[in-house]
Amino acid sequence: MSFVALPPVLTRFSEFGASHFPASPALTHSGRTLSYAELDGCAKAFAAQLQQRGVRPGERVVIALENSFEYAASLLAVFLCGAVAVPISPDTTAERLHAIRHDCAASQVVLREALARKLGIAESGAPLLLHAHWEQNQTAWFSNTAAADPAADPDPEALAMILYTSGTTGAPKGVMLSHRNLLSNTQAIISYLELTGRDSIVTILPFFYSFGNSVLLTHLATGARVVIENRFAFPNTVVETMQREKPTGFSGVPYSFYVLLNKSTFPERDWSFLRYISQAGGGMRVEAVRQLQRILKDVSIIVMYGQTEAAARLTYLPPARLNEKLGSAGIPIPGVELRIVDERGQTLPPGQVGEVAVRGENIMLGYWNMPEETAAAIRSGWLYTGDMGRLDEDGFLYLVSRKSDFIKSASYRISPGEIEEVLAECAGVADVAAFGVEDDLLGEAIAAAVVMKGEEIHSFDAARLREHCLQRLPFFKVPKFIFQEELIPRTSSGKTQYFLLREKYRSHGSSTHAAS
Amino acid sequence: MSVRNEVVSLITQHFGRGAALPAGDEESLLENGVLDSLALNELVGLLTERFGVEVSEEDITPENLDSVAGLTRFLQSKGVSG
Repeated sequence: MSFVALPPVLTRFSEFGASHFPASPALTHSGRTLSYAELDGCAKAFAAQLQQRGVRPGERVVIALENSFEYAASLLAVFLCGAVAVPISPDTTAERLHAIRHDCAASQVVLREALARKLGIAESGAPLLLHAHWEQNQTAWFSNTAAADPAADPDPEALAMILYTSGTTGAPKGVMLSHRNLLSNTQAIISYLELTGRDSIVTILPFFYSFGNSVLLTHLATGARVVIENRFAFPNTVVETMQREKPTGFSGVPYSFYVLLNKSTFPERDWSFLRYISQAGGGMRVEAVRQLQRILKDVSIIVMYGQTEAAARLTYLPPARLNEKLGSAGIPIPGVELRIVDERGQTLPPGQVGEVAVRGENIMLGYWNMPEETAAAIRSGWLYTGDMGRLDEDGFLYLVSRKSDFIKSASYRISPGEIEEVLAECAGVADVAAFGVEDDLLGEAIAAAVVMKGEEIHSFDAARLREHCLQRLPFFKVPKFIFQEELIPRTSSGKTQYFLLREKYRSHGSSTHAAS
Repeated sequence: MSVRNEVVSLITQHFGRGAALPAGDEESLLENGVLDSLALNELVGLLTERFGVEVSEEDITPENLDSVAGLTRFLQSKGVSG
């Protein structure tokens, strides 16, 4: 298969699409389509707006938008300026946005007016306020005739994007990705997915997450089409969009497939137009894979594994080996080396469980402003993923567990710290720990163990605590279950032993102590 | 209380996070960050609890559930009156 060589830096990414596939459809959303040439025009217009506001190469620009034409054009515009894109979820709080903006010293924030009003920041720091609808934005922001002044090509090793994840304490942690990180991973994914300009995808994955970002970049790099579908809350609407648009690909996390299999007409429909589906974001239950095989018949099912710190992707399971290696996360993608190591960093033989360590051009530069965390994660050029696994004799990876205490619920990786901080605000709460319990649909549901003090010990009211969380947290971070405990288990150094709580409440999804 | 106002009260109480709902009753609750897919599941349960309405899989559409106006019309079509 032959590919057009990708540009060395993302600064030229927008123009690359416009020059190689100008008339091809790049993005479709709500019945409208932008060609590559049009998308490039929008990006250039917005880049001019950014430059007029003083954005210079290397400066950080926060993009707090849902998947949309505006998101894609803003992202390409930031790259055009040689600046650093900092995409974040628009489902954020004023505190989190402030923390991220402050942490990366962002010079601009791109968001919609309604969100700015909701967060109370419309007047502060002159954010770039977009309207609610594309037609208005196209006129106001994305069709400026003043040409952007193209930035000189940065070094491929220069910072291109910061993707924030949560540390276990809840403090934002910026994963720094260079042009080379993102483009080498993009190239590798294109190669194993065999993506071409004939491909298209209906995407439900947010672009501000690593997985969604890789879907966007890989498709824009090949002249493929991305159909934006943000209504996954209505799974039948997603099914109808797919039936109408007939994409060649579909990507999701286990939760996406659990919902489609159990809460929609997906199992009864004809999917013969699909070439492949891909799944990452945690291990999917084998039974769900088998169900998909029965429904999708000749469609390739590609199981993958990755991390934000790897610009997205680390391994994939070649579809031809799926049955033979069911439950495996596969083999390293092109350009990635992988080994299993013990606590001293020594390579372990096949069959033995240890930490997954990886190396390649896709591995992040480090965590923004966090030299100690960076040094702990990247040692002698190897990223220590925090995931535990083993290799079989054929070099296929089997993930066993993770070392970190993140909760993986639906498509989200949630830090316990953020939930704990909010619960700790409640009167009568002496101590708290948040953790995941098994859930058929979500993978993990959020649970919290709470130690009460004073009178509250005898009048524990889980519903009151949950009500407080509902007021303070996005819904996906609100605990489904809140249990009263006498003590939170901790090590002698005070570190919460989440695994003990996970163990204790493993199958307590329907506990009578639960608030639900 | 009118059905529309009951809908507003229900959403504000459970998902509002103290923030205002979108300015227009026809505006998307999802796109405006009031609901997400998990919240929607909870909303379906609340509709049954509060209004005694059974919500089938086929009822879970943007037209029925993604705006104050849609929810009001949906509840009214199921016989709920203010």
